Amino acid sequence: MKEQHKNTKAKKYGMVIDLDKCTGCGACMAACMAENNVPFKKDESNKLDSITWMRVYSLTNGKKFPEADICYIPRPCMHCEAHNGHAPCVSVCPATATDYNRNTGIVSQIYTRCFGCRYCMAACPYHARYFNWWDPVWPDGMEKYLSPNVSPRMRGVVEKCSFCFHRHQLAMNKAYVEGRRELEEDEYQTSCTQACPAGAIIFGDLNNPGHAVSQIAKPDHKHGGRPMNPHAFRLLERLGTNPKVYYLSSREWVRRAGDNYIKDEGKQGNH
Amino acid sequence: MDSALIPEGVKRCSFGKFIFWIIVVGAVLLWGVFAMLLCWFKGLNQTNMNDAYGFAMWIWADLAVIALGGGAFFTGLLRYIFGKDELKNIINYAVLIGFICYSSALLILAIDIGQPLRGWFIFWHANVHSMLTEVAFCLSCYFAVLTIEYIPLILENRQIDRVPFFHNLSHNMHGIMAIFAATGAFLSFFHQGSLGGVAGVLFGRP
Repeated sequence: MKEQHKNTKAKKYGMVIDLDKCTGCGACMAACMAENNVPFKKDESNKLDSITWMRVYSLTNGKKFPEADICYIPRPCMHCEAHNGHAPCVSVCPATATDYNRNTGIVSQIYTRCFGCRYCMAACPYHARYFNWWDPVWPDGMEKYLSPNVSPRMRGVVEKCSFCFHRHQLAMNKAYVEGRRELEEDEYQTSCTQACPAGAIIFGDLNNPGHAVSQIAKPDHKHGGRPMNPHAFRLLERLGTNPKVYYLSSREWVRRAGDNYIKDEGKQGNH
Repeated sequence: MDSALIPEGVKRCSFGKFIFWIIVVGAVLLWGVFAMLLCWFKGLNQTNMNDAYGFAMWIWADLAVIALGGGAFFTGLLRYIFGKDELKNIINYAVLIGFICYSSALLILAIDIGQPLRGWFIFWHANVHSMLTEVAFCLSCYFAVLTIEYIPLILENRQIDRVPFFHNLSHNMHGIMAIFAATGAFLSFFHQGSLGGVAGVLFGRP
């Protein structure tokens, strides 16, 4: 078993989201809620205490009519690698309830170990982590529609996007039964990727040059994974969180909105 | 009967006045206990915290109450190590306040987490890279030291002092108190440092 692990190259699952294609329909959010048994309340109007692993934000360039422009930006967990797996949230968790998986590059969350100190939420610059302020209450009969592969969370713990890790486990199980150790690109795809009607979300292994994500984003692994595609950018690139979610946009103002630039700062390059 | 406990030139207030202030303080205390029970039985949704404002009382308690409680260590250090005997009149009071501060800080930590019954995971599954782990370890260590510093205060009770075992215990504890005073002050510096570090290590939120 150990030998086989040695021979399998570490994966680095990541996402590329094409903001020029995103229409802001929210299908990714709905698919994520259904896939991962994300609890909801009767009144979801207060977004400060509701849970949305995948959240679509809207941006505007703040200009008046002829130049006015908007952009929708879906935000899952960025699964930051930071430096050597020390993601902002991973290093602060006092109970080791969240960790960085070096085989997949996925930042996990162990719900039954988390005791709800919310330190990771304070550490996450993307607000990708959510606290269960209430116990989940499903409408009558809805528990029959819950996904059996994802455990529902109890009140008082933190949860976040897992890149549908249970799908990775299922795909790996299948591959092992068939005597394989490697997954095909289409065997492990997240729920939001499959739900996006515009095909704006692409998912795959950033370490595998054959996968679409690495071909499009062209991550520069020697320089913290920053994209070599001039149209690609990552959120808050300069914090050094080394996220694995890349965004694409042909519009300069959208790319600049991805980080805090000084007004007169020179045009953004690819890093 | 209790004239020995009352400093010269100070008078006791009237019973009515005494009861009035006890009721005022007691009401605040009961209010706090009620809030604590709400948090434990109904969850943190009873507070006004949300995802954008995730930390509330314990940050306040740790930073303010612990700073106050830390005074006990330094007073102990000056009294027992540097031999500042002028402090002997307030040392007991300082230790008492420190004891109350630290025990309430620990209690508030237990109220402020989402799953209080899993609070011990901070020791069981400790992540040594986390500042919060360090804070929890330090808090527990200081609390233990404070308890040791506090025990002689109880043993000073004249009825307890009559028991030979407790008399000897008190005597011996006084002899080694300098070691604990030094330990307490030593740990206290770490603790204040790690509290500052709690926010300092959030490199994603500069």
